Amino acid sequence: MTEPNTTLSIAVASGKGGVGKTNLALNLCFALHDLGNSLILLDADLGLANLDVLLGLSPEKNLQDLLGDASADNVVIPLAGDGLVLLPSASGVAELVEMDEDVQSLLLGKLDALFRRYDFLILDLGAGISPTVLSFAAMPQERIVVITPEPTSLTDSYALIKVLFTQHQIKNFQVIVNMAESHKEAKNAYERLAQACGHFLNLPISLLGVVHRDPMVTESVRHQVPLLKFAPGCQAAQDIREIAKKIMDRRTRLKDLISRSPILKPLI
Amino acid sequence: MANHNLPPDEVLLGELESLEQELRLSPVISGVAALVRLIRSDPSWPERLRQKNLGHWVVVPLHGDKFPALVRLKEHIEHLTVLQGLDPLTGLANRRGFDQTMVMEVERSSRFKTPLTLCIMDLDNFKAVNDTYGHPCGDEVIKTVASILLNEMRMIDTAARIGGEEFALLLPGTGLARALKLLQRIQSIIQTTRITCGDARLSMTMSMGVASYRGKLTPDPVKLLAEADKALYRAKRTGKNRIETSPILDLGYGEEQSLVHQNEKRFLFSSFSDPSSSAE
Repeated sequence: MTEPNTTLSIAVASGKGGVGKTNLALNLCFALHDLGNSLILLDADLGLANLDVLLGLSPEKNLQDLLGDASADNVVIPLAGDGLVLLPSASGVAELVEMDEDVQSLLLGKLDALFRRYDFLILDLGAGISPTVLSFAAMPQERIVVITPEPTSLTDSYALIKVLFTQHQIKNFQVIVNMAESHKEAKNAYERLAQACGHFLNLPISLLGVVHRDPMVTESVRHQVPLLKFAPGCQAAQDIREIAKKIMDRRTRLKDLISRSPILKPLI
Repeated sequence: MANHNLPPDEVLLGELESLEQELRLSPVISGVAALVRLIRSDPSWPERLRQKNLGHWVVVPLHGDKFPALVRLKEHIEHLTVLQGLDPLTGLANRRGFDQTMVMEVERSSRFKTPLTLCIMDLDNFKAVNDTYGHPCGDEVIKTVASILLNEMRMIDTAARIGGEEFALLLPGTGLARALKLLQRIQSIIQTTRITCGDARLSMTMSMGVASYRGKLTPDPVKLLAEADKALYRAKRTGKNRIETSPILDLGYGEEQSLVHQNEKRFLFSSFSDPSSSAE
C-alpha cells in the first residue's frame, strides 16, 4: 500500500424503491461539499440512471471505460467544481459484480487511485436485495439504509440488513428515516426496525437522522436542481445538513479505522 | 480367480510356435488369415463363423486350456482395462471408473457450489433380446446405446456402464431442468434408433431415474445414487420408457436466509396495529 487511506466510503441503500434514496444521497453530497469536503458520487443504480435524470445529465463515458485507456478525469462529471464529481456507471456496475476476480481487482485498483483523491466516496445503490445490490452494499466501509415510516419499507429494509448480515457478515448499519411526517413517527419506525434487528439478529443498528416530508423535495426534482440549491432553507434541507455534519464528524472520529480499511473491499 | 501375472516370455513364445504350426497344417490356410481374438473369446465362434460362410477363418480357442499363456495375456489385458476404469465392451466408464468420477464431481460441486445431476438408466426388456436373438445381439444393443450416450453427452459428462444393461450419466454443473432436456433427447434417440442384428432390426426403450443437487448442500454420493435408483424403480414400475425424477435434494436450502420470516414480519408490523405505540 502507498499512503494511508483517508477516504470514507459509504453505500446509500434501501430495501424498497421510492423512498427518496437517490435524491437523499445526492443532497447529502452537496451538503458535505458545502461543509468543505470533496466527494465522488458513484451511481451504482444498475443503469437506471436516476442520478443523471435528477441532474439533467447524459454522460458519454462510464465506469467501465476505465478498463480501457480512458483516464479518470475524462470519465467523471463535475457537479460542483472538482470537489464534487459524479462517476457514472450506466450498466457497467452490474458487470463489475459479475466480473471474475482478476478483472474486478484490476478495475478496483484503477478506481482506488481515483477515489483516494476525495474525502468521501458515496455509492448510490439500487433498491432491493438483488445479488448486485448486495455485493455493492458489502464493498464500502459504511452503509446508510434509507427507510420511510411505511410498514413495507420496514420489512424490505429489514430484509436487506438481514441478508447483508447473514450472508456478507456486515455489522455496521446506520438508518435515515426519510419522508417523516413527524419526529415521533420517524422514531417509532426506526425503533421498530432496531428492535427487530436486536431481537432476531442480535445486531445493533444506529439512527443517523430524520428527514421530514417536504413539498420542496418534489419541486426541486421537477426542476432538476438539487434541493440544497433549490430551497436551502426548507425543513428537509436543514435535516440533510444536520446529517451531513454527523457524517463529517464520523470521518474525523474514525480516522484510524479508515486509514486501515480499503475504500472498496473486493468481493472475493 | 484368474492369475493376472504376465506369462514368462519363453512360455508365450512356445505357444505362439505351436499356434504357427497349427496354422501351417490347416488345409484352409494358404497364406490367408487367422482370426485371433485376444479380447473376448466365445466357444460359439466356430459355429457362428460356419453359419456366416466364414468357415475358412481359423479361431484360436482362448477359452480352453490349449493356450494357457495366451489366455493369461488376454485376461491381463482385460484386467488392465478394468483397472483403467473402462468397460471393455463399450469403452464407457465401468462401475469402478464411475465411482471414482463420482467422488471427484461431488467434491467439485460442493467446492464450487455448482449443481450436480445423476441419471441411472436401464434398458427395458433387455433379457428378451438376449433370450430371443442371443448374446451377440445383446452386445450389439449395449454398444449402440453406449455410442448414443457418448454422442449426445457433453465432453464434461461421464457415461458409465454400471451393470449388464444398466448405465449411469453424471452431469456436472447441471441442474434438473437442463438435465431433463438432455435425457429426453437421449430417450427419444434410443427409441427411434433401429439396431441391426442379423436379420432382426431391434427397437429399444430406456427407463431413467434422475436425482439432482442444486449446489446449495454438499452432495451425498450414496444418497444421490439411492435417490436416482428409487426414481428408476418408479419409472420401471409405472410402465417403462419413462423418466422419473427424485425431488431435488437441496430444494429447501439457500433461499430462506434472504426471506423475512412471518414472525419477523409480524414483529415489524405490530407497531402499526398497536395503538399504544403509534398514537399521539
